[in-house]
Amino acid sequence: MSSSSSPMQSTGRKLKLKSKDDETFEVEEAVAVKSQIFKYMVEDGVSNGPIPLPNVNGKTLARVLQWCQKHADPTITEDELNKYDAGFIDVDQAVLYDLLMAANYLNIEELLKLACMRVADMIKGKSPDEIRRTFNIKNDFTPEEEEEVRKENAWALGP
Amino acid sequence: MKSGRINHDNVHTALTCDDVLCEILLRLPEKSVFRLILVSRKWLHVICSNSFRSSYHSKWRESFHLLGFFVCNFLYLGRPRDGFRRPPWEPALPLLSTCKEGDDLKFSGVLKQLGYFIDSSNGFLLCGRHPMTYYIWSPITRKQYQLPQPQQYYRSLCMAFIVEDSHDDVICYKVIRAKCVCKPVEVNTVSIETFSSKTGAWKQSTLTCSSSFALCPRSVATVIGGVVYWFSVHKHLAIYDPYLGVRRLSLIKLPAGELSFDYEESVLGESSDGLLQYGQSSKLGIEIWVLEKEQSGYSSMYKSDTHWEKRWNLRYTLNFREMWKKNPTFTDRFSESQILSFLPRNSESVFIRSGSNIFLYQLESKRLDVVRYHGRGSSISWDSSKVVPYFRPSWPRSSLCQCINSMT
Repeated sequence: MSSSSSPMQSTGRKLKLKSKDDETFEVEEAVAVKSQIFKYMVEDGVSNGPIPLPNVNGKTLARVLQWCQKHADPTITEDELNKYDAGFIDVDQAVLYDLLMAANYLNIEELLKLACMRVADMIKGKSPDEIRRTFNIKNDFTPEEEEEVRKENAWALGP
Repeated sequence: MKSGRINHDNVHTALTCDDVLCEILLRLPEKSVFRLILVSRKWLHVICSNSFRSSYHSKWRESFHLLGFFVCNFLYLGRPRDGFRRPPWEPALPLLSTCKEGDDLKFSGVLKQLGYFIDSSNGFLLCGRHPMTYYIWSPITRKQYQLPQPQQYYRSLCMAFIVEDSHDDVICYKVIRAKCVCKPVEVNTVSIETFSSKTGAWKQSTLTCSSSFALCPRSVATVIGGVVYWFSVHKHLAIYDPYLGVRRLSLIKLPAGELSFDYEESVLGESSDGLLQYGQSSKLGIEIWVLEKEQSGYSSMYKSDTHWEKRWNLRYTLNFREMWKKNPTFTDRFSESQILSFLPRNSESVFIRSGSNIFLYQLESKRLDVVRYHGRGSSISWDSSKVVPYFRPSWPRSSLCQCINSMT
């Protein structure tokens, strides 16, 4: 799924990107520079062949580029953008983490913020045990250690 | 797209990446973050780390929790040879504890070894016996450290205690002793001696001011952002910035009150927005001012002090009669009230004392809450003592982490 068929005015050049599973994408510079990494590459005048992105798979990259495109659109209103973001991030955990890692790796601040907020919302209000279950984290405290942590921070862990 | 099925690898990767975990935690309120130390060892380490704590406090306001009130009786501290002696049953460092953590501190016996209370900062205690014996006690290592003996003998002095914000694991601090003149003479200079934890030694220097002044003896400075504010006679404040590298003091006049001519208590503190706040109380009520920040930088600080009068901004006036009216449950018993203290980095509340009762007053809602403390039975001569709240920065810590700060 490539994003080369853009309804926007194509004024600038295009960047070629290659995902970890060898999918190639063509994207407008104006859209790609949402990522700080591409921004520097464009400024430094690099990027002849397709840029390899060994940390992002095709499916995720497609999504991310879609997000960038929406956010690079000058005609879209803030309201529409917020609505879009709300829908965009309403995905299951697997996709969410892929987006999170991709946004971190590609240094896309706004997208990282969006994804982090979503995870934060999932954490809020949950007990440590619930969090471990939601995120599949192992409890590596011994009962003695856990007791020690509780004791030392009783004031913080209050009701 | 297979919805609902978690790819277990992904879950681990995203949340085991420290950067990403920090990014997520930064978006949660404190109470939520604190609870997460129990999720796993990694989460405990990340949250307790100094780097995360710094990042967090650059986004969210730092909070403190109250352990109790320290009492410092002036009659004993630096007493003349024929003055009052503290009776042996009376503790030198009484703590009116307000919670279990305070009780634990009190019963740990630590306080018995420290002499008299002088000041606290960021949870650290400065205690001792004038003019030569001083201790620093750290809430992190829970150990005391005796400062080397000062070189300068000051018969009458005032002090300052500065604990620097640490971005790494080492806590740095400074202790300043400043000589106070006994005669009613004002001069342009003051001899001070500064101990720095970095050098481990005292260093004498002389500060100069463009006008004459005299620092108030037996007082302790209020320190905000590393800048020292001492009370000076005739209702002035002496300001010294040890980090500027310039041995100068500047003097500003404290604002005149509008409620009364007769003020009994004056206290200094830090506002929520990092400014100096000044509170004074009389029989009628309390007035709170804030010193608005200088626009043009430090150079104008050293000009004559007439500029400064305009810069005090009166933020609150509190009339005691109205206060008691709005909080009728307490009215019948109390007449004399006074401001006791500000809270750290807080413009929203103040501590008020009435008799042996301590209250927390919220300036906006005008609500008064009793602060319950242990030690009511003990005899405190309130009028000759300074009663100071002891706050600790609220942040989780664990001996499981190698985050134990060392003291140089």
